[in-house]
Amino acid sequence: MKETVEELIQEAILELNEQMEEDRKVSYSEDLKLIGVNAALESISFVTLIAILEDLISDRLGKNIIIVNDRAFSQERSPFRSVGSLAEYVTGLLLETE
Amino acid sequence: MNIDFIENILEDCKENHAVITPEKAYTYEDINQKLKDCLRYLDEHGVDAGSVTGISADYSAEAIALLLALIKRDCIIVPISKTLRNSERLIEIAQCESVFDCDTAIETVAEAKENGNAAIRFHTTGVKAGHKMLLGLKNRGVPGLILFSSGTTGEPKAALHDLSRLLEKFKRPGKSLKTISFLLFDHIGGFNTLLHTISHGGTIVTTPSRMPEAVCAAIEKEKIELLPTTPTFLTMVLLNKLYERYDLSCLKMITYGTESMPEHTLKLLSAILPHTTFKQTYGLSEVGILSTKSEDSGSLWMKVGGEGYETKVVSEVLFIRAESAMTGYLNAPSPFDEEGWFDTKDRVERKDGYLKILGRTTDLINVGGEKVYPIEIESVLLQLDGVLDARVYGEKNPIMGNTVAAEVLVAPDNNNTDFIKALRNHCGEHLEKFKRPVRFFLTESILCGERLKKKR
Repeated sequence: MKETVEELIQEAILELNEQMEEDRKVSYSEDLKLIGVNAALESISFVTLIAILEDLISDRLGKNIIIVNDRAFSQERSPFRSVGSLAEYVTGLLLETE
Repeated sequence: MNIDFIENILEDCKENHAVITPEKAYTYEDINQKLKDCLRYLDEHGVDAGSVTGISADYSAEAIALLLALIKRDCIIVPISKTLRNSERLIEIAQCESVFDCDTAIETVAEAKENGNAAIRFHTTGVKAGHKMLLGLKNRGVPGLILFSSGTTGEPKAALHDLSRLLEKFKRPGKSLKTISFLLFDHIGGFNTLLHTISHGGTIVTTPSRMPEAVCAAIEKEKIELLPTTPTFLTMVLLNKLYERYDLSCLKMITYGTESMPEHTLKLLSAILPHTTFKQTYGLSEVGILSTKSEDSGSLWMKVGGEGYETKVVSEVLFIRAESAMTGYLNAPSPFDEEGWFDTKDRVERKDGYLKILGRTTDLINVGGEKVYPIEIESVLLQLDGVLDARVYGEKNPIMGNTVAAEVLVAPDNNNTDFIKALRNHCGEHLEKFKRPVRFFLTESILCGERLKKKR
């Protein structure tokens, strides 16, 4: 499952890049910092990335999940600190719905 | 009140058509006869000056005659459209003492009586109107009008007008075009259209349905000159290419109002109907209809004001002070400040004495502190091939406070994720980041309410 999620995140980043200025485009890596100080994305782009990812998950896996929820904020370490932690967190959400 | 200015027209324009319904055409003489019938009918039922009286009706010769009779008798009139579901509640809020229910199918009160069938049904509600504003009008011996403001949340607010003031402007001579009834007369725009037409000897044409197809068919058949309508209706005319199926070139003028017009839609329309003047209207239940002058047919810039109206702009918001403003709300605190200014809650941009309405302050989407007006985004979405219509609104977001969401009307072929990708890229090219919709919802059904106005 985690691999599928990683692929979908990769695809979501590519889709997001299509609407970004050249110098703002991001490249996929597990360590890519998504939100917070020195993050690769501005908050509006992060929010858009998450929406694209949710659409992809709904389209490919037939599951409707909300990624940015209260739980995401109450975790000690933000699940959005990197692409790797996002993949883990989303995999967890998907497994719960099975 | 003295309605000589209308009664003279009823006499002078005897032969002219006043109302053309799908079944029959009525001349001004017919209306005059019906007015006399109605006045008698009011006497018989003890409807006196100051009575608060509901008229449940759609446009018909009877309803128009009854309206005139009630004005002449100094009653307080509560027009209620037949299409409303909450009419009972409105009758209660307005403290209606009696209600007339007009059946459009039947000829005259007299004929109906003979047939033992009531064209106009009448009942008393048992209520004694005690609101001090209602009593105030009654004591002054002037007719009143109660219109409900179309709030999206909470209970509708009942705006009470002194009709003697609201009618003042119709006494001025003017010309009237052959007009199709579109906005109902429980709406300030519809009321204005009706009174303007009748007090200048014009013709009102009614249609069996307000659906664009039926309206366009009537425009062609009756050679309509003036179409007062909404941007949503015009969008539907464009979508369904109704201008190819019906000859709309008879239209001298199209007036649009009640909601924001996407610039792109206006440009397309004025190219399709080059001989038609497009004019934006501006009015509110609380202050009446202002005079407007569009910069040109394809422009959203307009001058707003006219005799009896003052305007000012404070922090981008339009304020109006009007001689013909309502007396007040029956069921809400006064919205006027101490100097009588009314906050329209419409945000505007200014340029050389012209104004452009950006949208309702309440429709404004605050994306992480940045302001987004739905109309601007809708206009950009409409430029993409395959987008038939769009509705943009704010969605709560735990990170940004709000984000922009768009519901987009597409043909079945485009109802897929690839099209959403195309939409994202299109917005990426034309809009700043915070203005781009984060979420898109594709739909194949229309995006408006029964008054052909976008739901916000």
